[in-house]
Amino acid sequence: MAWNRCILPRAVGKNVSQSPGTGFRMNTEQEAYNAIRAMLIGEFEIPADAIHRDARLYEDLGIDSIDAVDMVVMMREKTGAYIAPERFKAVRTIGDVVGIYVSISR
Amino acid sequence: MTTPVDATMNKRQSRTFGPTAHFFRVAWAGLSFILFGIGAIGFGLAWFPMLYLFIRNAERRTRVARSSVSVLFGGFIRFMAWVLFRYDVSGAERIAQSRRCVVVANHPSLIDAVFLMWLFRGADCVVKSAHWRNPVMMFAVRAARYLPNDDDEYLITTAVQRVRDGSCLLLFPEGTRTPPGRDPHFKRGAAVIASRAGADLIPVRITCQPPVLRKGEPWYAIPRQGICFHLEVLPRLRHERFCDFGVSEKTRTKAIMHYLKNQLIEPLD
Repeated sequence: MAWNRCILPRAVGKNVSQSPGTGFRMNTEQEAYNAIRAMLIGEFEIPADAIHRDARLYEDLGIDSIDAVDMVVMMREKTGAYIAPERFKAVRTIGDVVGIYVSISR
Repeated sequence: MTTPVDATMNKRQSRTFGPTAHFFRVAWAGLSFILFGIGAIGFGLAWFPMLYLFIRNAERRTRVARSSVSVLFGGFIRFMAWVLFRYDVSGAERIAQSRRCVVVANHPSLIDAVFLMWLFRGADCVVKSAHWRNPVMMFAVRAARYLPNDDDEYLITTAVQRVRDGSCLLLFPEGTRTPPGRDPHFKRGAAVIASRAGADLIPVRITCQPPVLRKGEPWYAIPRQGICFHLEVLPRLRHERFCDFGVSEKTRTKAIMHYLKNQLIEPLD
């Protein structure tokens, strides 16, 4: 089953870059990233150039457990969906946050 | 060489005990642990479940449960202090005005929480969430409605709400005892709760000379010198002063905790 792990994300990524704005689903990933980026800059005072998908929240960006709680609350307010605390505990990088954001806003 | 006489052992602070007296003290430490266990089982399975039977009003049950915890811990401290250590409390008059505030203490030894829960009667505190499923502990922690530590969001929002409603919350910003020789890290949760609830912070400095029951130390590692616990309830940090520490909540609460840490802990050499 390794082939679909390699191919599926790439295919999704291609769709996003080729046809921006054509469909809600395709846009969500980038939209989620932008929303989280804006939230990190605005609410958590993270410098813009430190933010990329592989940046680790706790080690690189200095996010602590209180920030994590605030982040979950903000994401819930934005999307209106519930995020299980155990699920957010497993989060390490900004990419992981984007993944959760996308999955709950569906 | 003469061995010290037991009758005078409480007179001087830094007295060194002879082998017989020391053996007796270590035995007393073991006895204290056994007593704590028996007390926990006895009261946990009889007294606290009874509160559920006889007090239907949850508010009242909480008050009674917390007072009983305080009385029991007071008795336990006195039992230990009979032989094992001396203690003194300064600034005790400040405890009476501890409603609607967050009490912040350093955490040098295992029994700090016992001291604080005895001194601050009726206070709220954060307890390991496993106790909610432990048959011996569950009635006590549920009746007293302490805060379980597993869900951060629930913890913060409930703590803020309760402190705002007039509760006194005990917190160790170190989270747990810091191993000897390491620089303790103060988490900013206490300052966040105080600032969101608009409540004052009361620092309590706990010193233990010589140190005893630190992280990783077994119960029988009792020093040969006389042990003295010193609890200082310091003047409160008023919430009106919080804004002097910074603009955004994160920098402000971090600076407050840094300030409190300097008040409570001597820097490492």
